[in-house]
Amino acid sequence: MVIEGMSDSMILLKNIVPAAQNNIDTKFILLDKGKTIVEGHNKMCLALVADKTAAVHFQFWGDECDAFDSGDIICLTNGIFSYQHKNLVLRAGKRGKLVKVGEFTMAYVETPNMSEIHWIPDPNNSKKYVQEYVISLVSRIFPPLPSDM
Amino acid sequence: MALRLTLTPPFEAEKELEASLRKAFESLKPSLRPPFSLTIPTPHQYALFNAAILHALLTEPHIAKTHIKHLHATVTDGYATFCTLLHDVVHHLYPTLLAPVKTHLLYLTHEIVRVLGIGYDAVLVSLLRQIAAADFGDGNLWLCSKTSSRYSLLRISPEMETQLRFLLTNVKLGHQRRHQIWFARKFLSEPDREFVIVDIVRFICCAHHPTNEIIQSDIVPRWALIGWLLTCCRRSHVVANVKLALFYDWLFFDESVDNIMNIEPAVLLMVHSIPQYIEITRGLLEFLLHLVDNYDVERKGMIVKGVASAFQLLVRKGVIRSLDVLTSCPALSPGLREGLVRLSSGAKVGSS
Repeated sequence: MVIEGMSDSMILLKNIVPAAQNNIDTKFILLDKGKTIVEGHNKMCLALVADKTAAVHFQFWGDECDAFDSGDIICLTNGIFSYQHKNLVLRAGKRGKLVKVGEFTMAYVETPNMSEIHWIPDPNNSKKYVQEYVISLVSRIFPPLPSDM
Repeated sequence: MALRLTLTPPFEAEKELEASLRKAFESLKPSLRPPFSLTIPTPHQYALFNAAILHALLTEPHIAKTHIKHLHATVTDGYATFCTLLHDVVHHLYPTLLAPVKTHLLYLTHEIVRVLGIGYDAVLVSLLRQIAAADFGDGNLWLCSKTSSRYSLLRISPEMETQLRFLLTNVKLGHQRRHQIWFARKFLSEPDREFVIVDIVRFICCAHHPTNEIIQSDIVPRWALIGWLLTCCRRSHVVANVKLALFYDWLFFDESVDNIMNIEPAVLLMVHSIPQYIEITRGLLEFLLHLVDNYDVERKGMIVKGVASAFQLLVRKGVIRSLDVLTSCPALSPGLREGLVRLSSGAKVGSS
């Protein structure tokens, strides 16, 4: 698969909404990776990813944990943004796919962080979620680095 | 199924260039064996042929002689198309080429040089740039020993160049920490790699001149990147060489032929380091005064003139409003300030 830029189905991180569907196609740069945790057969690793519009927490699973490093630019297809162990995370899920398409050359912002927002069901449509309030402007797990030289 | 040119790790997308060469090869494979067609190819067919034969030469070395003959027989543009493709392979794929493919590529380069294919010099320059400074791996040493001294060694690899230009064009000041960490991890992580910082500073001063739009925006300025690179140096003689790289264009500066953009980062680094990083200002000024006295004792007069005209031009063009910010800075010693006053006016600087 050869991917360049954004295709029509891709969305910006500022527009992702929690849902039970694996409907998210997006592109981001990996800013920081936490420790890989092994729980039985499962290997997982929480990370901070971002594009030029927003940041979000990403959950890597299994082989994905060792395949990506900070600075990698990644395309996600059929991803899912939902609650996992009380964390609101973006992940590939069973049907999703992650592909590294480059390194370094992507600008990003660390605020807003879509995982640090309190979402509630839409009063008019309980299947959809809307933003109720901001929990934190930036990730509390991966705060921004101090900005001196 | 065609053999691969590069080692693509799992989860990584195949590079577009490699994919297009592979597809060309797969579509033309039957016609790459004799007897060869004698019909004149259309421009599209010719382009496809060049891509296919390049892939074949890199992956089918056992019949390289056949492919080379086929190439020589078919070429109608002085190998210009072929050289462009070869250059692109070097530029975009060299670091990740499989070892045998690298060997075939170097053999191919020899062949192209032998027939003086149009654009062979660009291929050689591109190969030279892949010699990352201070990387003493076998492949690089091999390239070094084959290099004609005619070609000035461009020691900034294409990847370094891409990342540096991206930093200075797209990343905002105050938000460059992560990108700096990634750059250092990739290019500066081993103790011997810090020598390349000298080349990086030369590159930033001379080969990357931001537009006015960028200069006036909140994008990371060149002086800030250079300030950070200075902190990456562990050894004092590397620091000295980096400072020399920074002031090199000042030494014989002549505004009628030299570019103000080459001297701008040094003065801005000195000024913007006041007061928070005053030790940088101090270190740079001390170095400059010492340099003027010692770089070339026989030509000291010329050097003093060059540095003075550099300062004067920077003030005249408004890069800094005046030198007062330095000459009246209380955190700098009186001796240093006096030395700067004398230097910037063109008077001879005595040993302090």
